[in-house]
Amino acid sequence: MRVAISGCAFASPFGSDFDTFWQGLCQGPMPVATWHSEPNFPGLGCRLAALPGADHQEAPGERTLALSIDLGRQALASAGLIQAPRGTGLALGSAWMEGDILGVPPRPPGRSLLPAIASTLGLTGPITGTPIACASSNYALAWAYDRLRAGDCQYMLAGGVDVAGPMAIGGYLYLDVMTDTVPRPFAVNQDGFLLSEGGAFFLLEPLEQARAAGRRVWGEIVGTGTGHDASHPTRTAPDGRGLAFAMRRALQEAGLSPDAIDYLNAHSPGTAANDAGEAAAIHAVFGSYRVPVSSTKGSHGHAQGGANALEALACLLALRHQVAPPTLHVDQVAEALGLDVIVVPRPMVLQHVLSLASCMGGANAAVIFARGDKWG
Amino acid sequence: MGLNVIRMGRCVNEPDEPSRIIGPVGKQLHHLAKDWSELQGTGAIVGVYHALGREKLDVHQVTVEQIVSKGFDSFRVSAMVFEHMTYGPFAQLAITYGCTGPFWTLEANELAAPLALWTAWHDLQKKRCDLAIIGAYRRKTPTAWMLLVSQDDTSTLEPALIHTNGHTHPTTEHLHELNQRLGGDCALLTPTAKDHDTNGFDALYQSLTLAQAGKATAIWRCTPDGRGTLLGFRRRDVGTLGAN
Repeated sequence: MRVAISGCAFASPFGSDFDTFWQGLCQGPMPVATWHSEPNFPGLGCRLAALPGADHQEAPGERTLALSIDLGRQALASAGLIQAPRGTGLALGSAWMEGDILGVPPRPPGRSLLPAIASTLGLTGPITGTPIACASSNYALAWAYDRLRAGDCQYMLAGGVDVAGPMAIGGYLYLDVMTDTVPRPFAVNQDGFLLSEGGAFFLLEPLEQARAAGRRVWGEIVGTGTGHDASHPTRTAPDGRGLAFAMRRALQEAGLSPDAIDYLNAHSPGTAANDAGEAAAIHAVFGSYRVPVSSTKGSHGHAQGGANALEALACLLALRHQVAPPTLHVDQVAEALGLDVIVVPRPMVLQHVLSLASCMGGANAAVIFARGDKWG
Repeated sequence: MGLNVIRMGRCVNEPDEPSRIIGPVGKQLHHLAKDWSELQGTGAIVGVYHALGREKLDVHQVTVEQIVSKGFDSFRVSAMVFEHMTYGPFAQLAITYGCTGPFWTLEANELAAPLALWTAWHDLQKKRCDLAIIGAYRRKTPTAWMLLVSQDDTSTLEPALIHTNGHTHPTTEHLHELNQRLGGDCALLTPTAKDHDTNGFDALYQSLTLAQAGKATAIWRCTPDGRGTLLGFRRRDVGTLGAN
């Protein structure tokens, strides 16, 4: 069975307009990052590319809930559906979900996201969360893809969101992985990622069903794979084994050879700890074929569990425009990585694109997208 | 080809394990896995499927209390992952035992165990891994559960899963559909109060044990908000294999 993406909605520091987002990916400037202080935790803060109009007085879990419901509704609406069809499932990729409860005194646990989203949107199919840190959204897409292929349901809402909260900010500060300037994935002078917010929801359904209903297809998911590094709690395996495993599984599922991948949207957030392992994984899978690579986290920042969802959208828009988006802010690529890093928008024929995700703890997920017919 | 249940284990309280194994849950999972020979350098590709429920908030609460009282600097980096992230103990398990296959955390409260098993079964059928660890933990009890399963031709055990969301109990239609998928009638196990305390694992063990003994059974799990799954197992006689 072929799986179509027939609906989409997103929220990003660029806003929620597709053209503005695409322009931001390709030309910048990156969204304004301002110093964010946690209102209930004096002294805790970081530079943050926040969602436009974000109210940080509100608990992170409540913001995530409101954003998820809004994006779910919009994704359905973009497919011409005023409500979720009977049996629609949900796969939510959020690293924190309702779990960022730091405060003084500690906040009581928030409402459970999954039932609140499901009841509000009328979702009655398979429902799960995939809180697997910065790979959460790719995992959600992979699970949704499998549920459709297994015949467990006919529609899945899938994607992910995350917002900034005190536990997230404190954790990243402690790990010393955030930049004081701009994120520079794959650059010689990279010095960390820029924390951001947002994510995207997609409506997935069997391709033939979408076509029969007259819905335009944004793209197809043609293969997914997951794998674990089994190497180190916080650093990517130097040989990128988990990511390579995930990519190989995704290619196998899609029935594609590596050289059929026209563009690769990398995980790289802009940390040295990531790039050597990710480059090793790419070399292990692609061999002598120099697949064009970029990381769009250089523009939209690192939205944690929502990041892969924004990158999935970047992949769909790349397929639409037949342009591979660049990695912004890279003056000098780290040549030792041996990658074909895209630093300016690259017009090219794009049929299949691959999105990678890795996370602290060693989990990895790969998703392959194919071009749809939405834009002719 | 059917589901082969290789190991089932449950660990209560905190065992005495090496200090390199971080956290009470990590120690429990290690305690269960260390004697499972299938995980000891066999070269098998092992997937890990973590069934997650509301216990994640217990984990976060411990983090909060530590941060508030001692600050972020009180953590070791590895402890941030292993003790205080929802998937941490299972990541530790994957690292300790070289589980390089698929890795999943599936958050679904009372439905988590059935959904984790269903996801693992799907991956085994797709040859994404040779073995699958399915596990869960509760921090307050504390208790950890783990299953080790495979898909192979020595087993004739077949699972089937039906989503029953929006129903207060499985309907006749749900049971009929399940029986159809399993190719025969199965008995619905009556949940006990204890079942609701384990993300569905105790009931899952009970059902698997009975099914392996030849008694086709199903368990129904539900959440207070109305989500539900009906998971059944039936052992086919070898003579009926290939009939469908």
